[in-house]
Amino acid sequence: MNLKELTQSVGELEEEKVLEMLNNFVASNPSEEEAGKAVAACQEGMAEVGDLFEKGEYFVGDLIFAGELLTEAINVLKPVIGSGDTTKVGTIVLGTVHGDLHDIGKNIFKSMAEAAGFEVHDIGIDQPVQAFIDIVKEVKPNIVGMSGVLTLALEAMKDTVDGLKEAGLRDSVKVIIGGNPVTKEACLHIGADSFTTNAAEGVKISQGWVK
Amino acid sequence: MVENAQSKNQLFIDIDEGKIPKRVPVYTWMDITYIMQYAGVDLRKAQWDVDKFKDMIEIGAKSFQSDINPATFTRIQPVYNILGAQNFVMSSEGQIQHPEITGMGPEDYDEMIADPYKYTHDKILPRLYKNLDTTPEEKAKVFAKAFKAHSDIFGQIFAHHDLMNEKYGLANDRVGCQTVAPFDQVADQFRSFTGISSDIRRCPDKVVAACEAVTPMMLKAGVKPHSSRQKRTFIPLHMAPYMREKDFEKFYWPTFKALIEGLWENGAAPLLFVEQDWTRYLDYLNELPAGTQMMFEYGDPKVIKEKVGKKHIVTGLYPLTLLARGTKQECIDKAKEIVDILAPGGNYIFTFDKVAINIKDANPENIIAVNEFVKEYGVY
Amino acid sequence: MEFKSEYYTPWSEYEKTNNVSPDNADVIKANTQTYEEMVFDFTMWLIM
Ligand code: B12
Repeated sequence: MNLKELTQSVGELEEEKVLEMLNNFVASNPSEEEAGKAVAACQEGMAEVGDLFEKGEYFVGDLIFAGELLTEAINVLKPVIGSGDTTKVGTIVLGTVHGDLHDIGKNIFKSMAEAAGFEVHDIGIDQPVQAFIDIVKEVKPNIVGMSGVLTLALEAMKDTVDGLKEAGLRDSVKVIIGGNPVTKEACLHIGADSFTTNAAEGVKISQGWVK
Repeated sequence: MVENAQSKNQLFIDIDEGKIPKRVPVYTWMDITYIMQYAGVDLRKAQWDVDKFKDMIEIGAKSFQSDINPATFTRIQPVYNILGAQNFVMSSEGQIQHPEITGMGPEDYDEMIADPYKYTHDKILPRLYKNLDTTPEEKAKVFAKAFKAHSDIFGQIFAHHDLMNEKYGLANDRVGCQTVAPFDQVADQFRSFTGISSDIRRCPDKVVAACEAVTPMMLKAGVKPHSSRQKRTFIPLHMAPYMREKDFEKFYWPTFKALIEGLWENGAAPLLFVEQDWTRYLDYLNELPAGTQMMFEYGDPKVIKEKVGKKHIVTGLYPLTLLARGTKQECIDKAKEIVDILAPGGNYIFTFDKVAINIKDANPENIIAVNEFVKEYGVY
Repeated sequence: MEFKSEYYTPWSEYEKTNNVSPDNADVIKANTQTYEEMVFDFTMWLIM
């Protein structure tokens, strides 16, 4: 299988072509190492999707589809990937803060971060401060990501950062916030390390932190 | 100048007739939940308490210096509860919200396209409202209960709105009914935000046909006997900013344009809530029939004024989040900046970029200060 | 662009199937068709 072509097809969101290539590949009984390379090629394709998004050629709808395509691709590859641990570039705890039930943006960031090699612990929507504290204690992540679509999420994000401070956990993690209402001013007020309304940029910022 | 309901109504009528009004009209949008919290009552109780809705309407009318009562009811908890709503649920703090949910599977396009209204009753409603997912007899009973509750509650709300407008000398409500862009209708609660994003790649022809199929239904929803330039058809716009322009052109625009033209042809005047950032699509918006009101969330006010402000009524763009934490002076400075750009030449109504739904969204004192400022400063 | 559905009865059809006397058509329409329209509006509210 031509890995470059695979990467390119993922980047261009050619679903049929990607699945056909991968099905043929799996039928050829590849080794675990070869399968690992195929996974990497798909992930590179996702990175390309992120770049096109940042350039303004793709939009949120395309990111959503890309996430689905990647999940499908990995499902096809599963039987041949084996159990070999893939190296994790870092760990992220992710959730929608209390008072807000929205998760489309959060899920997009999740699938892009996973494609970039992060282990993501997604705790879901409308999550109280204590839930963030508990999971941070448990998995000791590098990064905490908070999401929200409603303006009221900004105060909830502040509560959550304050909660992490009180629990003595704030200095052990980087905090990034995302979602429609976040701004530079809000980021300062909340006491997060960074903010974005762009999931691809969020992945780059996270990568910068775990280098 | 002493202002009363009549002079306030005249501000809007002037704008609707393409004349320059005496001053910039001020139109604040609040979900009733904002007003409940302002009044100090708990959302988790107050949203059930229909008797007290009247008090909330009165507080909305007298408190915020808006020319139109900001109090808007859209999500009615008793009705949702009777129906077992899955699509609008209360968060831990009492704000009713919409979790991502799918009322229609991708395999159902043909059935939906054949008769969208029938499909809505047969399939969508039972998926969105679990108490309708039962025997036909029980379903009819639950539907009847919810219908009666909805009609009683809204009947009270509308009547009291009129009364309060009279009592406090406010302009009439500007929204007469609501509809939705055909593509957004197929997206929001049918296929969902995520579902539609895959469908436009997997079954593009069906998506186009689906948008065409729902258009007559959306047009009907947007035309009422009382429709007029002063009683507008509200249309919140959702998916376009999340699409590529070539997808927008193919899937979104044709039926949206047909809807807007159809509304005008039938005597209804649209009030678009242009949510998120439509900078890429301003030239399209300018193609719509003149006098369409557009409330923008984001974008460069200068560019928007230049591109669509001559033909259409522009509103919005004032950042609600500033009102939450900004000082009074900062908030007023921002209002001055925006009014200076958008008011010249008329065709402008002062509104914020987002609906205030929770007391954390905006400090009420800042809202009042800014609205008072615009009324004084925005004199032509 | 006419709205049609198996589940929606326009006035013209109602008139035919319900023995509406032409003399009283106005008042009958005002007090029957209104409810068909209200059910339509309620249905739309449920999906918006
Ligand atoms: C679509 C939509 C709806 C749909 C939802 C459909 C669905 N299936 O989910 C429907 C029609 C149901 C709806 C209903 C309502 N809505 Co609405 N809606 C929107 C809209 C247009 C888009 C929201 C969205 O899903 N965006 C898509 C996601 C992908 O974007 P995103 O969250 O920003 O995520 C991106 C980035 O921010 C980033 N990201 C996100 N999280 C994270 C986290 C991290 C860590 C990182 C790094 C990155 C990241 O990644 C994503 C991709 O780049 C917004 C407008 C807007 N500007 O956002 C209004 C908006 C959210 N709605 C609003 C309102 C008022 C409502 C209603 C209350 C209206 C009403 N009265 O009925 C209702 C019900 C309440 C509710 N919101 O649930 C207001 C909220 C105002 C406020 N004060 O907070 C908005 C802002 C519109 C406005 N300008 O007033 N809505």
